[in-house]
Amino acid sequence: MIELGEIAIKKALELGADEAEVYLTRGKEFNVTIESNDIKLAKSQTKDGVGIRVFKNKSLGFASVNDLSKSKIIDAVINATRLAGLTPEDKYNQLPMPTPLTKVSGIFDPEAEKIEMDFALANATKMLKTVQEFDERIAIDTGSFEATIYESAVVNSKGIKVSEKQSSFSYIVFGMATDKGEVSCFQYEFDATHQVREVNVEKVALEFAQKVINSLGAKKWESFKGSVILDPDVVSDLLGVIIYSVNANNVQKGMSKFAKCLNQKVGVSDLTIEDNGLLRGGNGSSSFDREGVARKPIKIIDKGILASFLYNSYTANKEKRDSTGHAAGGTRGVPAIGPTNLIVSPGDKTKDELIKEVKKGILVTRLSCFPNPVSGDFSGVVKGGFRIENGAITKPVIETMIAGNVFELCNQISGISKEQKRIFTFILPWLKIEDISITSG
Amino acid sequence: MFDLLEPLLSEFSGLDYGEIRFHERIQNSIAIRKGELETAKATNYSGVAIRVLYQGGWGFSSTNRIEPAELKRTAIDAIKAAKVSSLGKKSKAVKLAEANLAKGKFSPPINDPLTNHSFEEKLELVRKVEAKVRKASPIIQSASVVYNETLDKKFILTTDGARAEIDDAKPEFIIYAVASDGKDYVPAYEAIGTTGGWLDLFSKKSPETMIERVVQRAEKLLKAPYPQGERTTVILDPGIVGLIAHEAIGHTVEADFVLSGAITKDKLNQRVASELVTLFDSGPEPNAGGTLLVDDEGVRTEKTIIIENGILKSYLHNRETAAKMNAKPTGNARAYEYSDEPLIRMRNTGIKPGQANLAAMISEVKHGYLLKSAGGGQADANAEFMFKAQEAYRIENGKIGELLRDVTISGQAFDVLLSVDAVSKDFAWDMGYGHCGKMQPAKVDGGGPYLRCQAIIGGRQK
Repeated sequence: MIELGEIAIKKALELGADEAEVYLTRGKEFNVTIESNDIKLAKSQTKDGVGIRVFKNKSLGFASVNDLSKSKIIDAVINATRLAGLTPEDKYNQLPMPTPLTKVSGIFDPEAEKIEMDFALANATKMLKTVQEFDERIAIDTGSFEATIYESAVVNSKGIKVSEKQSSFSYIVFGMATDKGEVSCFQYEFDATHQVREVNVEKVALEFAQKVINSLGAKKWESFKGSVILDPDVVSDLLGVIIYSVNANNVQKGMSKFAKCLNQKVGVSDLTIEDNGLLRGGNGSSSFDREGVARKPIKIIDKGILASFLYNSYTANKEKRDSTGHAAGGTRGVPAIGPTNLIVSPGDKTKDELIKEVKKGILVTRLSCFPNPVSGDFSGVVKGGFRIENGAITKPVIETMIAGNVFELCNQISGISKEQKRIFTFILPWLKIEDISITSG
Repeated sequence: MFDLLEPLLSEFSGLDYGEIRFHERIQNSIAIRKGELETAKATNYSGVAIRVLYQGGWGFSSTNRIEPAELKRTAIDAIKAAKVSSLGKKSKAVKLAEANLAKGKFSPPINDPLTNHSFEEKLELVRKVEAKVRKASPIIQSASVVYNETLDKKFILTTDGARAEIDDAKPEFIIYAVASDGKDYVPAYEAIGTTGGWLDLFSKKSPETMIERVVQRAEKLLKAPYPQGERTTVILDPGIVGLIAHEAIGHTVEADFVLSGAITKDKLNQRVASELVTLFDSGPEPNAGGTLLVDDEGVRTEKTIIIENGILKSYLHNRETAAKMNAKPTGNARAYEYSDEPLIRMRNTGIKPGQANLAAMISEVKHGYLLKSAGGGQADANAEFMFKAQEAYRIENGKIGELLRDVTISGQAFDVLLSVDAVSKDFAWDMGYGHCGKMQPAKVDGGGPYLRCQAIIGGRQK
């Protein structure tokens, strides 16, 4: 792939580009899907992609094509260079220089090369069977098991030439339970790993099955202001606001509430959020980012203090600093900014101890919600929620909404669990929050 | 292209069904934020998908190389996959219902093709609009403007006779503004999207109207208080009616959900809504964002009446679920890109206009809210939906009052639809910039009249 990248760069420079960058990917996947309690479809395919970014007189042009043949790549280079001749100049349009990489371990398993469709089928079937044997009231609406081998490379005219291979196994199950005319809310459970030996569909299937059964018999409750315990799944939804607000592009463009908060207190002193692209075997791990810049661990919020924003090279150029290695995106777009593995540090109490502390509140295991990333306001419907009364979980709730503000919430955290759960690329604890508005009835 | 694809049909002898779909997708995009160009791109994502059915098992494979040897290899991979999935399949009796299969050339009405307008013209429009938004008011802290266009070309062939060539164009124009007083930050957006050409897009709303609305909205929202959470009367605008039709009902009548046990399962021909409600999902709708003339199983689409005068009449089907449930395929099998398999998805979902007058509908409300400008939404198996509205105006004693911010609405879809007591005479598609997510994205639209009903407003408690 590096060779193809070099050919593309040469062509771009010949066509008058001053700088050029090529991002190439090739992925092979085996996927078996489940629909309405039965195996549905088996899918095997290879997907290629190449994204070409050129700067001509500091003007941007970008083109992509899903084909690694030389002629198609050259066509895309011509297209990108043509666009760069038409766009306005921007002095920060400058590609990054090579940086020494730390090779991340545990993201490619050579055993994955031997995997065929029957492995995906066996796992999808096991997932289906485990759920059905748990309780016949559960219906799997959809599910899938996917095995992927993925290679990516970045080549640029400043000398970056990097490539890496990853293997990945991801599996999800999504559905509900029906009991005497009652239909529960949807629940889902998923996980992913790079290692064949770490594939564990039974764990996901059982957690899903338990969640679904628990959500049967849900009833309305009442409106009040009280404590909530947020499951890591819910924390991951609300974390989107923080991710948006530490994106240096949003900060620089006046769209982030954190713009003037660097080195200031933004949360309780127990709150530490780290981004670590080099986490061994992490689902969000890689040795380099979308621009070929080295990954490195970085504290975003350190003991309640806003410690850093996330940069790609464009936003770093603007502040005459180094990129933090957070360029993100695929072959079909200009590099943006995104997190890798986000880790919220654990606290010192168990999840059960946190629940025991609640006099009147709810445990939220899923929240149907679109938090406003700019203002931080959120208002969502509790799914798979439970009443907590005098320190004990009592009944499931339905038609209940919670509302608040994520920025305020960071200061309303009254407990962080010892336990953490992996939610794809996030590693998160349970949080206890005070003074949340609960509307029901 | 047919010459290249047709010989592959012979690979499918001995199978129950085979389908070949070429899909070329060209997407061009321009984005400017706070005066800086963030994206100027031209992307091409093209290939051929092959899907086959063998003894109850579906197999799928795709390739980006459109050449005979590679296509043949892809067909063999798909057949191999079908044989594997058949092994795991419990119910091997999968049949496909007879359908109105598409033959010929299909293209939606296009007024002033997007290709008539140069990249330079589009860039200039985005640049001018973005600058205007930022200069419109001192409290507008930042703005961004995006123009996207998706140009699709498809060839679909099936072993039972579909042979369709389809062209499609879907443009979108989105303005986003952030207002701030230095302490508080509030965003607002205005967006349009449709199927068709340049004139079709900007006949929805002109950039000038969009600028005015987005700036006013951001300014007003910055000063707006939060609502108090309660169950109350709400009047929904056409975009939000589209969203409720899509989230609250549409998803629960997708036949794959129904077969899994969604709450609509045994409700066919029963009353599920007020008799004022007639709800439909339509493919061949002119000037809407989810327009689809032929679905990805090669079936001609139609206007499917889901609820007629309050009675549940139909689910949304592909050929497999239609056969299982003894119904007619409705043309709802959609694949997002060539490398995706078709799933049951909505197209343009809406509620039919009624007789009422909006002003009268408002004047009759003692206490409630007028909700405008749809945001995101989600559906659930038990029909408990949620969605966001950018604007919520309090109504007290028949008069529109103050604007409130960040409003989320929820309820049980059928309770909410049964509570409908007024439907206005207006109609508009107003969700055409949106995507629906269900394993894959899909371009959809939603619309309707103004509608009055009961729902829960999420908010703050004292």
